[in-house]
Amino acid sequence: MPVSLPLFSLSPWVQAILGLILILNLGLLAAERQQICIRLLALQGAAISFLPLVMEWDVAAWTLFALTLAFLFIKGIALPHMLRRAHRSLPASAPVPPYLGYTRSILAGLLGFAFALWLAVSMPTPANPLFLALFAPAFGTILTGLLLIVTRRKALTQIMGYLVMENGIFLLGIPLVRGDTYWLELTVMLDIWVGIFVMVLAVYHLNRAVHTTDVDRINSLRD
Amino acid sequence: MTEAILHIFLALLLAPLLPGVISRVKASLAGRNGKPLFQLYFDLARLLRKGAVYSHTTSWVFRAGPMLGLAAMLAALCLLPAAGGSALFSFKGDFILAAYLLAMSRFAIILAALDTGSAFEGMGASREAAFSALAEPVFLLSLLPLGMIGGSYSLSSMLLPDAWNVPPLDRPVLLLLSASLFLVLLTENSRIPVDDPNTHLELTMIHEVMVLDHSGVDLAFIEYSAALKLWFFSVVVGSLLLPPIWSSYLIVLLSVFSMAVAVGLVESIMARLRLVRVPQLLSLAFGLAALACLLCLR
Amino acid sequence: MVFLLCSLFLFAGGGLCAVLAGRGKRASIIGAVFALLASLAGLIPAVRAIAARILAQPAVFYLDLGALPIGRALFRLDALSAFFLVPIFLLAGLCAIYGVGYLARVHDSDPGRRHLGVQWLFFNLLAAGLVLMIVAADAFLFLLAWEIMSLAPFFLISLHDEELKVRTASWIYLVAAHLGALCLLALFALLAARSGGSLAFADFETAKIMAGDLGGALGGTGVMFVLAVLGFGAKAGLMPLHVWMPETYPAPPSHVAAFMAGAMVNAGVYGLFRCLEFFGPPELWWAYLLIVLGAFSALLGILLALIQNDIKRSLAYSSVENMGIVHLAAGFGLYAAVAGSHGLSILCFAAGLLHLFNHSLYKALLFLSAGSVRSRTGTAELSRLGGLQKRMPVVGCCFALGAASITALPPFNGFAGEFFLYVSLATGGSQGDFAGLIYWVGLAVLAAVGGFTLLCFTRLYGLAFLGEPRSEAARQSGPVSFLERLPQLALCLLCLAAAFAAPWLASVITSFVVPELGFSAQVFRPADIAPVQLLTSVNSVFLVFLLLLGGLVLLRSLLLRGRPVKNSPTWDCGYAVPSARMQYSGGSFSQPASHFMRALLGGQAHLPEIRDYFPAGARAYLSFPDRIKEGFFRPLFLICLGVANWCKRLQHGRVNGYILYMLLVLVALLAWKVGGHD
Repeated sequence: MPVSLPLFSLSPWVQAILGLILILNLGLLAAERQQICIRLLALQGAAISFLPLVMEWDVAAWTLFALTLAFLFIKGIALPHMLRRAHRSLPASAPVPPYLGYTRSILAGLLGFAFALWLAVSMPTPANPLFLALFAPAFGTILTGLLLIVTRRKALTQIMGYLVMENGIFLLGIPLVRGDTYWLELTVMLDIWVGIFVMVLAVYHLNRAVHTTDVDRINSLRD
Repeated sequence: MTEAILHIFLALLLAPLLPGVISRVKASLAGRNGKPLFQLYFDLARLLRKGAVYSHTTSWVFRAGPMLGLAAMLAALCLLPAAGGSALFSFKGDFILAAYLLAMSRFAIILAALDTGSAFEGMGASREAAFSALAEPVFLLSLLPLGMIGGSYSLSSMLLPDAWNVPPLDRPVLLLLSASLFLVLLTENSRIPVDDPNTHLELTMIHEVMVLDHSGVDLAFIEYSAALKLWFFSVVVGSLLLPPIWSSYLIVLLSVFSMAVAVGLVESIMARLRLVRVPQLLSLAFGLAALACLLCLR
Repeated sequence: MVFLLCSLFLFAGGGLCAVLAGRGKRASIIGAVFALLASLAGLIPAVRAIAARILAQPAVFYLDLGALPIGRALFRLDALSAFFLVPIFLLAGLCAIYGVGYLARVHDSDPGRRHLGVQWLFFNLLAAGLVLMIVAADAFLFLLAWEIMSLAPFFLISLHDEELKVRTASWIYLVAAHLGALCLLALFALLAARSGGSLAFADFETAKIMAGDLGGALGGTGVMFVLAVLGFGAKAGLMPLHVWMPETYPAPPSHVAAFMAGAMVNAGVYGLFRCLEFFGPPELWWAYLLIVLGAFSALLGILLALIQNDIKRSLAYSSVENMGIVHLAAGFGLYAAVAGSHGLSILCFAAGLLHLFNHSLYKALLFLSAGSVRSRTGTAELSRLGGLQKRMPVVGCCFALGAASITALPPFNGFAGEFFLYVSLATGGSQGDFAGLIYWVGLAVLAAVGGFTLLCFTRLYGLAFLGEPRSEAARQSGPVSFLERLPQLALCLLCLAAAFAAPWLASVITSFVVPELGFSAQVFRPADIAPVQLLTSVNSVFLVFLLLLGGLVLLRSLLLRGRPVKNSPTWDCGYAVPSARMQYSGGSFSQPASHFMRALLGGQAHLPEIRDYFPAGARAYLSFPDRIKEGFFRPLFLICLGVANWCKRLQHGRVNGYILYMLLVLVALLAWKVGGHD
């Protein structure tokens, strides 16, 4: 019994942002060069940052602005900047083909989104209709992030996959915000920020130690 | 009680006659005069008067072997029922004790043989142990239907004197059992299709080669316990076959000596089997016993 | 009960003190003294419980152990546990005495190389674990004790870890112990599920009454029974699960091997018997399963025992055989219980228990004697021994007595249990109908096993102790120390005492121990077969035998007095230079039997191929691989190894891959949970 998703009951701004995020997901899966990936990621981060503004939370207006600014700073500027610096500090190398080709990655991403839709349809109806509306794009983003981590060879791209996944989690958390609970979002994001910081450092040092960030080569460190 | 004791005395007295009977039967069938009937008595008397020679290798086990063997054999004889009456000791399951007393006697003789360190005696010991291991299940299995027919698992009711009066359906059972027990008798007493007591080559002997190094009193004990063992099995087999018109000692004697004659006949008309064929003989005996069990349980 | 707890604490405390005392001989003495004290303390309640028969109400008591998840530990000393405790305490004390002597020699040969304190810690832990397991009355405590008891031998076995064989043996032991414990874990989980989550044995017993509704959902009690047979059978060395035994028993120091073979194997039987109380009414196929496994173990076990060259290996296979007999008896007990003849059922179980008790005594004795042989000659291989009766007379006599006992010869203690079983089987068959046939088949198997046991043990004793020494080491060997002799002599005495106390033991077991097994709750009617009278009659024949023997000894000495008694070489058929190597060897002694039974045993002749007219040195030998090990477990474990190696590819070191697993699991879980919702 298909249930119509209340996706289109959302305001057009939200719809636009979600659509942008989904397109960016596909773009990330298709992008070959790391700079492009970083830019796409920055764009996605920025797009997501505007969500609090358009979600009509029952919070004071200045808080919303402050939140948007904070998210924009971290997701749209700080993290991409760190990634860019890491990218620049690493020696230039020819792009290596991923485990799953770009076309297939896109198809897999679409499949993931279809799976997310199916899940959303067949899930027991939650009390919060907003959750159902946001679930499919959110889970699709998470799957995209996971897909990036799984299929890409460069450590930096995997970190980006991790970030995309975080974006998905962020989306998933948005409907849960009631009143002052946006602190939850904030703390999750700070967590991720620290995580990325550590990972970038690790990649940097790994490169100094074994002269590669190709995860195939890092295998030799196991056991 | 008294008749049981009398039976034991009879066995003690007459058992050495059995090998004499067997050899006389063989001799007369071969057209010879043969040994005197009382040869074993003469041998025993001569051996009991002698001293002893022991190998340097041997220990107390060698000296104790014949005594243990004879004591176990005598104890087993106490469990054997007399003509018509019950044995000196009679209880449920005494046939198992009897079988294990025979095993005790074998155990002692085998160890005594191994104590000499001689390859010949080791060989005899090995074969004796292997054959009797195969004969043991046949012996016990053959006695079971008797217990069923007799109504109690005690030798005194198993070897019942009125075996001839059993229900007609049980008669083939008795026939089968006497055949299988007779084969066990031949095996246990080292008789011809299994072992040739008269052979001249150590390599082909089984029982005789085990006692090569025994002398004097020890040898007398061994010879005597072998004769008692023959008596024991003859009573078991014979009591199944002969019609107890009167339950008397005469019948017992008749059955025992007819067994000796039968052994003599078999020895005259058969050759010794090859060693590896002996298990076939015993599996035949096992088959007969199993068939008897099946018939008996129906 | 105070004594029992005392004993447990003495075992544990003794182990700790021994470790604190360091590597040297001091640790040895401390450990052994504590073990001895603990055994004595433990014997008091066990023997009192049996002798006075006051435990109509089993003593249940508990300790509050707040630190443990179970809260409190339930103990229970009833007739069954008391009966199993007696050999454990007896052997723990005696083996400890032997261990002092043995480990002192080990220490002297290479001071400081081995940590004796640790040895004693694990020996005491093994004993404590066994005792704890037997008095445990809830599943958690039982499994805990089972693990202690199963793990401790690993460290004991690996004392001589410089030998490859010993290392292999300890690993094989560990794997086998854990596979068995796994089955037990599943078994108790099922039992706990049935009793509504309670782990107490008492609740298991009450739950069996209303079993059926939940029991069916979990595969019924049949699954539990199979798990119990697998788990406990592995410990007892039941046939397809026996493979660890012949590898493990030759490896550890002899006092440990004796304790394992005499007391630890009983744990498997105890567990099975205890669990029979929980299962509810037995089914016929359980009986068939036990009978088939038991008969198979008994027959194949003794056949494998009689072709081994190593004494201890042979003894290990003989343990398999004896455990087979015990399980055979238990199987027939179940069979009779299902058929409704409860008197017979009780007799069969009693026969098994009596045999088990006697087995503990003589098997420990044989292992201790074999250990003395190995510690004096450096080898336990028959092809290098011989003539030891003259060089170590006490050990020789002990081994001879043990061999006669295990062969179930009258008048020794092995006879009573087997006699009991024979009588039960014989009467069982005479119920007249065709179903009785299986009893007689069992009896025939038992008889065949008896015959081969005689062959096996005359071979072990005859070739190791009699004749001429086959190697220089055997020639040089001498008598053993007092500490090693004392336990052996004590066990000899116990064997003889047990032989003549058989009627009393039988009455205790039939009227007191066996009714403890829940399902044969009917009152035993001694009218069926009076075990006590029978064994008393057997004893009177034993006495007659001993009197006759005494008479013959007297007669022989009278006859030989004053007559010439000479010494000469053994008859050598005229050959001029006979040597010790020309004696019959172990392989040749068992050859006829192994040839006759080749259909069961297998065995390969490795014959050299002669090509040239002038052949070079060649070597021919027979080998008898354990077919279950080679034909079943080796392929099985090779497959397991293949799967495990394949699975190792899952751990490839690529982060992407690992996250892929998570992704897959996530998707699968979501699809399953969410998709299955509607």
